[in-house]
Amino acid sequence: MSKGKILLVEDNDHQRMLYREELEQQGYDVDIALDGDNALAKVESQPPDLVILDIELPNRDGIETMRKLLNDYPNLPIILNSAYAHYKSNFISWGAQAYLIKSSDLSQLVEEVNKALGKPKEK
Amino acid sequence: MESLSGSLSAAAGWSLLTCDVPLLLVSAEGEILEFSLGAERLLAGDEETLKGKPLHHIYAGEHPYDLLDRLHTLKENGVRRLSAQFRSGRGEVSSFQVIARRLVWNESTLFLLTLVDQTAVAQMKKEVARLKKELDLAYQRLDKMASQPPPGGADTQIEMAVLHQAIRALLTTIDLDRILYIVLTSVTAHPALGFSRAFLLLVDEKNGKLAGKMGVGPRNAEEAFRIWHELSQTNWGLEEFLNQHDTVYKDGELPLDSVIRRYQQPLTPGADVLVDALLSGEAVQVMNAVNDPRVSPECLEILACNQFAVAPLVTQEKAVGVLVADNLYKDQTITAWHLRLLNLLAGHAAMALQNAAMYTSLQESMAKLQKVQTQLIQAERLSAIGQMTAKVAHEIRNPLVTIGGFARSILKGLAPKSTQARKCSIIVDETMRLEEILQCLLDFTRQRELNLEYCRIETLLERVCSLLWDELQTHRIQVRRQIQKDLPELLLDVNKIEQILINLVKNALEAMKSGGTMTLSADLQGEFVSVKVADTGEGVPPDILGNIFNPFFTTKSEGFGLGLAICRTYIYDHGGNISVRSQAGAGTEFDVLLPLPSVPAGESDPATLI
Repeated sequence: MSKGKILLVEDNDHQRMLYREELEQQGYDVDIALDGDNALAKVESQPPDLVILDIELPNRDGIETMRKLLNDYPNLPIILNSAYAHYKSNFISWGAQAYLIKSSDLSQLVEEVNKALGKPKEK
Repeated sequence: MESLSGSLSAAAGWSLLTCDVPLLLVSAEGEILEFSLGAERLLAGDEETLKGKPLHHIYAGEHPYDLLDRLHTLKENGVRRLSAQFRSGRGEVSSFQVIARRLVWNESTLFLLTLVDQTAVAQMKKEVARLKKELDLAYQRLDKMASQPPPGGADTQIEMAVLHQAIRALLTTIDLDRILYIVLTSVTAHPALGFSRAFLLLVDEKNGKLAGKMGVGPRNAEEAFRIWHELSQTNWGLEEFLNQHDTVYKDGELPLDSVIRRYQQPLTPGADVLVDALLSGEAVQVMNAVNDPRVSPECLEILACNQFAVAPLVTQEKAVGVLVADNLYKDQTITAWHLRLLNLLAGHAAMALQNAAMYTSLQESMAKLQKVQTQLIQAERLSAIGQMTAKVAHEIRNPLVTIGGFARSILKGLAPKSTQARKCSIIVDETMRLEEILQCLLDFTRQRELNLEYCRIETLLERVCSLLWDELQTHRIQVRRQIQKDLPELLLDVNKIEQILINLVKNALEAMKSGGTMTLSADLQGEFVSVKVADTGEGVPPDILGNIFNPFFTTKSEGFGLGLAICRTYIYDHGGNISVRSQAGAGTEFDVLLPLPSVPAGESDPATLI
């Protein structure tokens, strides 16, 4: 049985493949979006339990997408996953569940996902 | 336009909104399309006052549109440094250096402005210019006085000779103590005014008092007669007396300093005859102090003399102190002529003192200016390096994640301990190492937050010592501690300061490969606690010492030369400073200054102080 549905928003093909493989092995359903606009549409049509958002995305960047999502779905857990390391503090205060710096070691990502979906976000 | 700036941000690889560097993105028409968090902070603005507003709303230059005009003279992709004034959300006008870049996006023109705050520097420069001018004027006045005979009566020949000698001597120095000594010696030396004792008292502006500063003369009758006997055997002029300075002026004290330093009177009229002379600007002769109501009991007790003369040290601008002379142990009445000489000398002394004060304040201003400029250069350098590092790190990290991630994925499917698995582990480990290097680079450029808490510096030093105890033992390093007792608690990010101390101790360890002594000291220095880590190693050559805090500078085969650069950045974040001194063969000493908290520990919740 699926442990939950994750929308993975990532424009890098290789990384998308990597994350998807790992998350599916962990027992999650993974849907994908390639950019910010695509992510907004997917969340509306097939609401996920959690969104993993890259920051550098075409059309609408991850931060804009997060602001929009948090505005429309205040209880949707969002994990920012970026190769940039110098934003951290701001985004957590804006409402992101976690801010992860991309790493080849996916254990932290898995841990954050488990944490978010193991315990529903309080209203 | 918004989507245009948004897509530009996306294309540039970062979001303008969250950047800590003060940036403004402006359209060809002068509309502020986007602004960074840094700009928001610097200009005390927000969505209301900045976004979508015309640039001239915040521009405080001569003409509302001249900045935009200057921007339009830029060529495509051209960059220029401009000076401009902006008005903050609080209404304050500040000068900035603006690095303007013209960009073209989808055939539209955009300007990217990076702001550097110039106000502090400009103010300091103005102050230094003002002080320089004052100093020049003071010198001119002194020159004029020295070249003209002082206004005087009949005995001008002797007066002029004595005063000229004294003034010439006064012109040779700007050292306060030396000036005071010259004045007092001129008053007491036999070839000059020949008083028995002389005292100088200066205005303490901070406390609104007249306070004793320096005294010259014999301490008792016996000493007086011995000195006069010795002097009768010599044929000294004023210059010879002045040259005695270094032998008389031992340990920063003259014999009568302690006597006159007991004198402290408020600057209120009628407080005492010395204060009155200062306030009125008139010389006073006291002939019978015991019965003179103008002389306060304190004054009488300190001077212990029935007859003395007082001359105010007055310049055109203000009264700076008084000169007191008497003929104790010398049965000689003070004449009107002596009083006049004393008064004339006092006038010149006042000028020399003011000159010295100006020079001191000029030096202080120069030092402040230099500090501000150094910090500015450092900030610009860091900002440029930071932006480049972030971009490069980002570009490298993406493929690394894929390489290492898939290597891990493959490794899971391989038989443990197989050759393939071992090879795959190498890929995993090496990519991890590269990621760590990136992290180290980014730690340096990342927006830093301080997690402040009250703590004792000696506790931190002890913790660092115990953490590195094994290494200290292996290297045969003796640790000496010189920690001042009862140091106040400091408000610090404990982890960061610990990291700094570990770094400094490790540096000391490396400098003493064949053993030595490491001295850890901490003491109070004004508004700071100074923490020093000193080794007895080989020392650092001067050319290396000057670069030691620069990022990416290293003499080691390992590491990236960021250790001390990070240390300094963290210390700056705390409002402190770090410096280094080194002597070939004798060792190196790092001095970390950490500011005292504005509210001492226990008086407030630390969370409210951040």
